[in-house]
Amino acid sequence: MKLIKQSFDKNSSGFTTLMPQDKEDLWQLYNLIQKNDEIKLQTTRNVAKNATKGASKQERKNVVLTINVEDIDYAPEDEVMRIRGKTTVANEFVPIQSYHTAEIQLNKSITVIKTEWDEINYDIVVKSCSIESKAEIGAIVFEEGVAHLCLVTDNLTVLRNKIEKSIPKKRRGDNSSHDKGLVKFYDLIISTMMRNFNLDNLKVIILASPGFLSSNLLSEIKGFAQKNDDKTIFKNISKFVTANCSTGYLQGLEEVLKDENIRKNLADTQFAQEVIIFEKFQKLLNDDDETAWYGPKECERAIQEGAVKQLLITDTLFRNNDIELRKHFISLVEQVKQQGGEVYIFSSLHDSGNQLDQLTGIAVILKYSMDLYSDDEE
Amino acid sequence: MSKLSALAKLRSQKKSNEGNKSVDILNRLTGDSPTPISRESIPRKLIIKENKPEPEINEVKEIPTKSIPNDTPKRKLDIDYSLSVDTSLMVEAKVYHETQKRHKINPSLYRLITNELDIETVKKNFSKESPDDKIENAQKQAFNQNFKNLTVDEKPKEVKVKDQKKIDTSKISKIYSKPHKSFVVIGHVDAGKSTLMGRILLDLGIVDIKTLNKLIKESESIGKGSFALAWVMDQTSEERARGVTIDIVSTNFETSKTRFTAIDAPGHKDFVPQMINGVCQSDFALLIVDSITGEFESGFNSSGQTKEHTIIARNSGVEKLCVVVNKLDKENWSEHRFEFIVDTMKDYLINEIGYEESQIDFIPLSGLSGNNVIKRESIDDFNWYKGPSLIEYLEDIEISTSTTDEITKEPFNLVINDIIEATNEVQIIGKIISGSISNGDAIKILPLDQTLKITKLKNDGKTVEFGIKGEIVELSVNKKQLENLDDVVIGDIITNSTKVETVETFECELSLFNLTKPLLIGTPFILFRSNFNLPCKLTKIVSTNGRKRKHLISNQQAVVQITIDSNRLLPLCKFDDDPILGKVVIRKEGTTIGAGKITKLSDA
Repeated sequence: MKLIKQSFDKNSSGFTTLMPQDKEDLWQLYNLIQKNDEIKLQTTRNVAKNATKGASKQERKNVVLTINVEDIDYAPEDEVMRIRGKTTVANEFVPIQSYHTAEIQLNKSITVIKTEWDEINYDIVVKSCSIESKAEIGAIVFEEGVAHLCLVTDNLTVLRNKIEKSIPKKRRGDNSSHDKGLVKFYDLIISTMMRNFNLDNLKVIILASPGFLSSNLLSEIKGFAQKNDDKTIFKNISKFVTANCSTGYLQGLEEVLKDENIRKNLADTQFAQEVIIFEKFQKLLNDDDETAWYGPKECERAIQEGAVKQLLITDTLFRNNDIELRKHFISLVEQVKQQGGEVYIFSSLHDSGNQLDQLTGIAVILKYSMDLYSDDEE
Repeated sequence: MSKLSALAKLRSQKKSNEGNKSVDILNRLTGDSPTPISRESIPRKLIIKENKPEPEINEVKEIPTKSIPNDTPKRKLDIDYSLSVDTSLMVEAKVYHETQKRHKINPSLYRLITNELDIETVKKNFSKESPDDKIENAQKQAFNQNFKNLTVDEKPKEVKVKDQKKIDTSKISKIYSKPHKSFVVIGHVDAGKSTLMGRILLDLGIVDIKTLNKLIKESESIGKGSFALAWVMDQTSEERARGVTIDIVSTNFETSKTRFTAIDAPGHKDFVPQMINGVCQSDFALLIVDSITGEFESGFNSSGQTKEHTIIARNSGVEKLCVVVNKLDKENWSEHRFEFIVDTMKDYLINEIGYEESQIDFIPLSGLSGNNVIKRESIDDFNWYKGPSLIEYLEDIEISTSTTDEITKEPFNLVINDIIEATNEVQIIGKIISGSISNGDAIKILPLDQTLKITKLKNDGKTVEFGIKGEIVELSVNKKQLENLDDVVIGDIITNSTKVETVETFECELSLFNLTKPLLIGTPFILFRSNFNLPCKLTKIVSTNGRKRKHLISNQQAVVQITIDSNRLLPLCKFDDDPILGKVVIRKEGTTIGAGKITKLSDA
């Protein structure tokens, strides 16, 4: 994301002009823009061509609109984000208070006007505009007959394609159909990979499977490259990493990211951090020594006691349309930071964030054990 | 390095140090190799959507449309033609006048024209069958004839779909005189499962010495002489190169008393899904343990597969477990060692897994040398053993069998183990879980929910008329009946029962084993139902046994709601309706964490 212009008033109201550049930026915008914010952007609208003639002919016009946001839609698979709301400034073609749905386009600037910019909003802008190159990882998690091709960035896991193919089982005496099926399956994975992954842009491509399949796939990829004289693969062959996991379903990806060897390759991608801290939380919870808790009430009490070492919270809670609730969560985060605790904001588009989401979205790891069990039943 | 690769490496060290140079060479390649570009097209199957032509039904539909016009036009004919006759006569009259003027030919040649007369004749003519009517009537008649025949043909066909052919019970009892047993060979990696299977097949003469000699030569050539017997079972190049069984393979053999289906399962942790597939196809299990000091212990610790395999076997409904104490020749047939293993295993199986003492047996043997498998060598050190040899045990083992009466009344259920595509038919292989099936029956595949007709029924390569519970059969269906072959996958169910439903959400009684992480709401895991696995999520904890917490931990029992986290639905049935299809095992991150019985199917 590019930061174009920024201005804040004393009462922390103000505007920021940003230019999203990839799907990751769209996700950041999705987290940044809330209901009742105003956005100003160039968009297209169908306008009546000539009102005097009666028969209204529609014409598509490029207009700059300022919209009071009512609704935001984001589909990471399609890389499309739409914002719906009422216009607050009239212009030549569009009267005030008329509804408009604008699609956010990449490489077009958008101005976000908020009456109050809080810590989290500000963080998002700073983080998304940092010049550090973004790491995008390609991952192929597969087992015999099932393969998942996905792209992992700091904030998103996007499943690009799923392959399902039944492969005949091995039989005593005749394995030709099994071998043939397996070769076809590898071919299918490779051709799908070539279509969906831009190898030049990816930092690393993880091939993960149970057993030896992943190393077999790697040699198949090398074979494919030799056969077709594919220079993109040759150039990026060192990016391929094989890993072991127990299943060909997406859950396997999390297992891989915990693997020490793989982590070295990934450096410090946010997702890998999330996976590790969530793993730690689960382990503590299993030990049952009362140092890990989840649920808003329990976490609040822990924070009030100042006992929190690490706070795990998903971005879903900040996307809340209830301003008071959002403020409440932000104050919790602030408190933990003041107490010297660490705060991990999980992206709900990753699997671990999604899991945390279903555990009320907030969890804590304490410095010492504490009984926070609240008696009230749901 | 993962354990698996470590293992593979260890094994490959046994052979000569031929490094994998091809990779290095490839890495050095800059990409300017002169091979011409031959882009391989994506293999894509073209399946023409074709409905099965049903001429009978088409014609049935046509009856009303044909019979109605037959009546109405006739009445219309009178009116229509009286008009048209007028004009034609006028034309004729004109012509007549003209010709009379010119030629003055005998007027008697021409009839006197009055409307009345000719209309009468015309009417009469038209009251006869018109050529069109003739054709139509003939068709109708022919159709009626056919139709009569068709109804006779059609009726029993429809009945057949619902009502299966009655199976000759006398035939069943005849088959039962030589019982059929299927067993799976399980155990820790390198315990000698495949080798024992190879030994059985060799000593029974299923595999001849010639084949074995060839295998010995091949295995010795890469420095793995001891693998020759295992290679009888492990036949993919992958398995031979790595020296590990990867997938199950089933094999049929017969002794004078019994027919067997033996399934060799992989022992490695990564291939537990395949092993579960094997367990689901068998009546009882042989658990192989390595008796060599150190090896038994490593297979038996918490990360070894001996324990996980027994848990799975117990929870997949394996009622009899025979612990085969293998490689006892390496321990000099020590009775002491044997007793030690028996005691350890008994303690574990009875106290931790929940087997009854009557359900477990122990046999010492050596798969590689073959002692006590089928033959008994006279070894002084082994004189203490008075029990049966393995084959005697296998022949005598009693497994619960249903009576023929039960089988004919039960609903038919089959789990697909394999699908093979031939030129114009599809072969579906699976084990009959309950009930019976005969050639020509119509069957339903779930979750696809499509009815198919069986064109051929095979058992062990031989065409048979029917198959009954416990048998592994091969059904052939016409390829045209399936729109897309990829819609049917291994693990789908073929049934005629209404109790089996495809669901997205269900409730089950879950008992958990040792967990390293708690089971929270939203925790993903892999669910196994017989040989099928799918990613699932825990969505609701309905009730727990006592503990007042919002998540589940080790060794806890609970009723939970599970939702399938995939776009595919899962055919399931309640445990009370079918103990095999109603049972699930859950695994997470490569370890088995729990097993459950389905209590409620809900399509929420």
